[in-house]
Amino acid sequence: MKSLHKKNLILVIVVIALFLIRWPIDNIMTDPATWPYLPKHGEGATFFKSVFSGGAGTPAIFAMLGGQRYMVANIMWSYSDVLFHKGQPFKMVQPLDACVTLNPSFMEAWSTYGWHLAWNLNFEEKDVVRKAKWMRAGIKVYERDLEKNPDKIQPYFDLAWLYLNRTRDYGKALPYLKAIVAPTAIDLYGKTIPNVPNDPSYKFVMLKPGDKGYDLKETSKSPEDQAANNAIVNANESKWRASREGNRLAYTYRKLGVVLYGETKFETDPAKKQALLDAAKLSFTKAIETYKFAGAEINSGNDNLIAIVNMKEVQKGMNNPKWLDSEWDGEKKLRTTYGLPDDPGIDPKVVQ
Amino acid sequence: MTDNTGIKCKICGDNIATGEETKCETCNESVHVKCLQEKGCPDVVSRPAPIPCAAVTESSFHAFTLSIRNVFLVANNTIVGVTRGVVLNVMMVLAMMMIIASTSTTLVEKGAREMLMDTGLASISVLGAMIAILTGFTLIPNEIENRTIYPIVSKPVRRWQFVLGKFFGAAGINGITTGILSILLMVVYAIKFKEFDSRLVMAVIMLYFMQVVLSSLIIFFSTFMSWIGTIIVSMVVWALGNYSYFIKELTEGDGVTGATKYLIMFVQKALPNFQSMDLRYAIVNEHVVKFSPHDIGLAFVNGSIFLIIALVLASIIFSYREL
Repeated sequence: MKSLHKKNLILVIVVIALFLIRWPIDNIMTDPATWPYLPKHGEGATFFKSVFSGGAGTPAIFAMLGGQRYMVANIMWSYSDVLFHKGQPFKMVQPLDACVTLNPSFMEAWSTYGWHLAWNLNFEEKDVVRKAKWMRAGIKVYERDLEKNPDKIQPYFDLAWLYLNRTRDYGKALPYLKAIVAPTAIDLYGKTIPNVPNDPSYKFVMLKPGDKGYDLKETSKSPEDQAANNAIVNANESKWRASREGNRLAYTYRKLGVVLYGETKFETDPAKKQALLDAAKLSFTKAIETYKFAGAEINSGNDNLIAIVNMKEVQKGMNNPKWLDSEWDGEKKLRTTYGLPDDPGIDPKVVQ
Repeated sequence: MTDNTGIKCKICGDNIATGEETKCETCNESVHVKCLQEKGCPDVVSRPAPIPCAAVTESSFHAFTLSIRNVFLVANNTIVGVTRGVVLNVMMVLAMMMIIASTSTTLVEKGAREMLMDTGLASISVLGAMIAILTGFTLIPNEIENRTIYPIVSKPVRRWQFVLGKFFGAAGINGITTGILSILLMVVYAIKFKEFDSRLVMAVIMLYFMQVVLSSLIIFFSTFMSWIGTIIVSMVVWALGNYSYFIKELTEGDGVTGATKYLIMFVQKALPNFQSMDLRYAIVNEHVVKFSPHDIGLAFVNGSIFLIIALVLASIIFSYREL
């Protein structure tokens, strides 16, 4: 009996020793700096803070579900899909919100949520005030997304696209698009944004001279074979994205130039008018430079590329009042369609 | 003058006076206290010293192989017993349905790929853990309650061998369930996306290891807890283990100081870090393409330490338990 006690005592000492050995190993695995497989949202600290400030809601759900909350987020995602196909767009808001709250890294859900608010619900709503509310909600969702995932491409693009395409506020879209194509960390609204093109999910690569850009025509060789087309798209995705984001940035500069030119129609002060015209010229010049980045120089052999066509058009038209007037007329029509005032009220300092 | 008892001492042969008599524990004969202390019992003294056996090594090896055989006999019986049960089959069907249902998302094609991976791995993780708990908590208490443990331990099966056997049985059941569900997930993924993602293999291996560690803890709890206690505590430990990093983060909150901070820190370290064995987040959300062998090895070491601790403590506690 005594020897059994002695053996067990030794084993207990071994157990304590093992427990102490485990301590530093576990420290490595609970630090995002040394363990790259951890979420980076500081949910534990947020939970504690919320409990003490009296708003336990979502963090309490985090606590209850632990590592399994992603699964609940997936179920919410599926449920929102069901509602979408049932034609109940307003009911989709709650499950989508739960989805992005439970899993802040769910990029597709963020994108869909913002798009759903700013496009679908804004369109479905008849009341003007509520329309504006859904639009603001969409912007808010993308801003939340950006706050949670500053090192991902998607929120920058989503927010830029919303300003570009939905509110036609080119000035606001500009810094987000710049952040996407910037090769190094940049300052955006007082915050230092990491080198966004390094986002592994994006597979972004800067095109080098001699590289062939992605041409959509390649997929039309076998239009009936969807799998073959998908394979072509996937294989060329990185090149295509580099071109696409560059083209969007160039397009933003171009539109910004047109809007700055349009602003001169509402300006009476000659000095301010001149400042607007100078800013418009600077914007067109930047558009040409960006079109070059997007593919014009790299794909100089292929005249069908949109980048080249656009670049040549801006080069020819930027000093031609006729072209500028027709571009402004087109923009005015779009502004009317989206219920925006004719006067853009834009500051020339937006192009720097 | 002392009274003579009339009894002769077995050691020296003299009469024993009153008050000097004692009984030898070995031979149960009357002897002088002094004689017993100085010379010892003649039965013990005359017993020949043990002769060193030439085949000591061979017999140790034989004992070792016998131990292994005993452990795996218990494990085999455990697997056979559990696979005949209803719980395992019902949970398996549920997990399979979840994996197949996760292919139904059509909203965004790219999201569907991640969705299938995430939900499929979550099904294996959650339902695998449930299977481990709901089949594991009965393994030892049932044997005691049904009195089937008596013929087992009365044979040359040591108690630690019985505990290890039950653990390996549970690990085998986890292997069968995780294996079947993983194959189903990979087949469904391959059919839907016409490709094979090797990261899934690494993810399911780690999930299996997580379940094995959990099983060792269930065995440990069931050696001294009631069945309901084992279920509740195992579920809490599993949930908190999946939340390990966030528990650590709590200590970094503004309002946490002094004793509370150290208490939370101790709780986090006292629980297994299941979060480090869950690669779902890295694959689906962070798009980690390749896992570092060093990191995976470290996660295995961390889990193994916990597994060893649980099994050693379970064996110690079970060796003292009255059956």
